[in-house]
Amino acid sequence: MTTTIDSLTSERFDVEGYYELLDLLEARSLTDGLPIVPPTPELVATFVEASGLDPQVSFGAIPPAMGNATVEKIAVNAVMAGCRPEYMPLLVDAVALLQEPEFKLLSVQTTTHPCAPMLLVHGPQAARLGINGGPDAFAPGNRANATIGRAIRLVLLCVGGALPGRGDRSTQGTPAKYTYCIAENEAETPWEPLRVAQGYTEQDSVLTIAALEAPHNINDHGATAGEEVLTTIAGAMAQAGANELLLERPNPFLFLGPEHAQLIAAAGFGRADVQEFIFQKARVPAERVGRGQRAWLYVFHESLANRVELGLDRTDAKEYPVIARPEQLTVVVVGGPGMHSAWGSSFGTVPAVSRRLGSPAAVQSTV
Amino acid sequence: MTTEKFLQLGRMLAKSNGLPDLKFAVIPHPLGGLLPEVARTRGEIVAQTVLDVLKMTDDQEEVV
Repeated sequence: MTTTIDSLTSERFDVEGYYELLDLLEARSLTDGLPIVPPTPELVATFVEASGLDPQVSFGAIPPAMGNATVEKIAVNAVMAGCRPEYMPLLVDAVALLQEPEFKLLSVQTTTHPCAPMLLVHGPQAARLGINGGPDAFAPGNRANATIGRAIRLVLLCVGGALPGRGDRSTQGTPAKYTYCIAENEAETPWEPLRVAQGYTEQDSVLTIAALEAPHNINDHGATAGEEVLTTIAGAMAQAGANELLLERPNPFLFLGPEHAQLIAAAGFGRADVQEFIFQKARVPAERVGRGQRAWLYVFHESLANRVELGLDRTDAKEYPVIARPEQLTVVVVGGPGMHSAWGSSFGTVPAVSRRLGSPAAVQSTV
Repeated sequence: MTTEKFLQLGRMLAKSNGLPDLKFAVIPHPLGGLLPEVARTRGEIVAQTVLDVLKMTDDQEEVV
């Protein structure tokens, strides 16, 4: 397949110079505020070609504006973000995964909560694309992490209309909305890779997307045993204002630094043991929650249809568990040397979603 | 129904979902952090606003 610029249908503009282009995009709210790579027809055609798909194949309407996420539109935003063409198959998979109904993209886009889709790439493709899961995985400086996450954000802004104060109603927002893409540090994971724990094979490359806050750091330099680290982690996650306290089915992420993970594993904890420990110990004493919020939690938990099934009648709680079941915590090793970990607090009753990369895309229509 | 602060988002969603003429009941913002007596009064306003919306004429876009 050869994609020509004649097969592209996006509106074209003639501009006199680069800064005029930036002004034009700003005036049309087609920006994240940062400079972009100009999406010339030739570059867009190159990126469409790299996807292996027809430019007008659609991955559905992106809420709240319900813009049509065609391969061409994904390519335009990928060029603008500074991506390499070889990122296109991953970006197409990411847009398809965002549209999984249980991910509730409309809510993720419009909520007052400061969450953003976090893209976790695991398996051979992560290394092939150069996605960093080691030191500074969440930080700037790596092109794949920076531009893949940015391309998805631009799709959400420019196609989905998640514009600050309009389609995106986050009270304060989060810097995670600029870009949020990492790899798993499988080489230093003391357990099986996350994708294998999820039921995929060692050969599979997998994309997981979760609606999370920016990572909250957990510093424990003093621990000499796994249970000590886990105690600090549970204490750090037991925040009075944690979004999870309001949720029936939260899905926070624990991003274990390799040194913490190895200390925990050396003490005999498997991934499921970590989940169970956090479930048991990450609890917020009721007296640490303000009176009005306790009343809010009371009303909210009273309305949960399955609170008895969960074994957590939290309506008269002396403490609030951060997760209602152990398996609601996703545990993954990320980062480099140092005694730090982080956790990502989750949005709403929105589970993380995963798909094998390169699997038949959820093509919805060709327009 | 939406609070006044979220009316613009409501209109965007109505339009993008094929209901550009959807009529809105617009209620005061916020809904969180209210004392019980204020919440009760707010509830009465909401109930009246819903009734007013049901009686709206075609040339009205919203009830505040």
